[in-house]
Amino acid sequence: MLSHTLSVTYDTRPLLGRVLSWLDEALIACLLITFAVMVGVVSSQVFLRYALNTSLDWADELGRLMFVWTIFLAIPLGVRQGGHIGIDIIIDKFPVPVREGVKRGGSVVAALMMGAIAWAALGVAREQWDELMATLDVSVGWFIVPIMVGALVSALHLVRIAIEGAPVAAVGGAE
Amino acid sequence: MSLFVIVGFMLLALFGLPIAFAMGVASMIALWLGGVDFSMVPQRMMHSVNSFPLMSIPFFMLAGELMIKANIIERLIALANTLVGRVRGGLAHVTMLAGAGLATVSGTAVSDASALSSILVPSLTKAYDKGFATAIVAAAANLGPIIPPSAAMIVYAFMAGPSVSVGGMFMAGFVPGILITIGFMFLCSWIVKRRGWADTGEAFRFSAVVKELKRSVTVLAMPVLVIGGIVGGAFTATEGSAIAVVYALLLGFFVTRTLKLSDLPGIVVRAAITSAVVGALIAFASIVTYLMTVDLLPQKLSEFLRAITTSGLVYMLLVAVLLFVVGMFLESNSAYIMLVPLLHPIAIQYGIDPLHFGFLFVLNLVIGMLTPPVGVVLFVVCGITGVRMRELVSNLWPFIALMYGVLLLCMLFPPIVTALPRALGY
Repeated sequence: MLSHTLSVTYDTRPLLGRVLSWLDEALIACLLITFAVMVGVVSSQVFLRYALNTSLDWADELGRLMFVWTIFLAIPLGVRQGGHIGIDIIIDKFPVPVREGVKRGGSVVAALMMGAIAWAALGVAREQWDELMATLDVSVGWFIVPIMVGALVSALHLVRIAIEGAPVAAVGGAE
Repeated sequence: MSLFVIVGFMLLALFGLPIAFAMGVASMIALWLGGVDFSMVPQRMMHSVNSFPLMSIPFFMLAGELMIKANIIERLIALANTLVGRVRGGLAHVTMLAGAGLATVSGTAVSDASALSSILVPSLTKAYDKGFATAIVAAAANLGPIIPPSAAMIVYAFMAGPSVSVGGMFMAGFVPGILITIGFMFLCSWIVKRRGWADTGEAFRFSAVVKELKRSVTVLAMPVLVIGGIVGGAFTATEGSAIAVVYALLLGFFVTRTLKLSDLPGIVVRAAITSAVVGALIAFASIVTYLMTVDLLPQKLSEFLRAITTSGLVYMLLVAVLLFVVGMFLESNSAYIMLVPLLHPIAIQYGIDPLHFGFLFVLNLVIGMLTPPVGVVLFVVCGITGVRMRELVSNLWPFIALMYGVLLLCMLFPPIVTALPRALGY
């Protein structure tokens, strides 16, 4: 299951596949960093509080920033492996060509929605770029950037799924 | 506008679009038709997941995965074996105790089902038939979100708002979790006796118990440290979950030495994706919630329900029936995210204890993970063991019935749920 999590499960010969495999690798690298920062910052906060009787005033904001990045950057990886939860019991009763057609059509609709979100996020990030976070000397726009990136890569994956067909759905591990 | 979103969402979801995206598409079409600027969409999505308490979900998931990779189940099973001794249904009792032990370090049923199925089913099928062997594994795995920590309870507490704390929810699940575990063990004994299966396990020896306790002390210390720290107020649930990750890493690398550096990327990315599945639901649901709030839907629903009944108990029964149906067809996290903001405030208006209502809500949907046609624990166990769904469910129904029995008991006698958290100051 772990190897399936990291391995590329689609055709990387077409240009879109090549671009997506590169983007997925970049997202995975980012996720390893954001997770490490989250765990490091939150656990060090406890250590500093009890061992050195001090605390980092920016720890909460940095932790939340990394969490927002983690969630939105991992959404396209969930799209990639069919990890987002859906109700398949009705559509599974349809003949295979109809099922395929409905799933591909759904992917196009979802891709358009993700594209619209990415565009809206770009506008919001630009609008808020000059505003700084409360405890970090960084633009609040960085909270919106992962939504733009995540929505854009998700849209590309959904376009690929509309062309190639849907992946076999992975069982949700969050329950 | 709300009606359009609800109907649109249901149509899209029933035609196979992932639930999160179905919510997003339906609500964005409604916004477009209503002439609302899309710039509120990314802002609401970001604010909905920009939460320190929510961060504990990926941490507890990561800690659970790391603990499983650190091979703690082998130690838990060995300890449970020595504790149970040679009795009727011994191996079934070991499975239940291992499931309860695993539940104290992991917050999800799916990871527990996956770990218990692959490790215990081969030996269980030597003593019992495959249907019963897989049924007890599925039942034991379902203790995961009931006994603290619990990802389901974190999501519930987040969606319910300030009236429910994560620590309070964790403690609410403690006594019912033990009741269900003991109930499962009695049920196993009864079934094994009825079917005439032989006794299993080795005779009870105190020295063996002490030896295995020593081997397992590092595993057992984790829930004591983490849950104890959260309940005792030493740290928040999120801090506790981050400590659990650090603890699991140290245990895997330096104590059991089964965790390798090369295992980490896969485990981290898997935890990130499963968190993103929940995060996407929360983010897209925030747009739906906005539209429903604009239309005053929660108030209208509350007025409608209060016109039907003024009894809190009747309301809880109505919700239980709704969740019974929802649990059969919908993945539980989607149900928390869509229904808690609507039903929890109404429960408070009826004067129901928020922790009591919250726990019953969670237990109801946790049982739903064992009920077909959409029971995610069933899918995992069938997928790993190759058992037929019908065979598994026909052996599982007594366990499901027992869980509903405990649910009813908790509904009628609220102190079973609320006494411990209230005594601890929640």
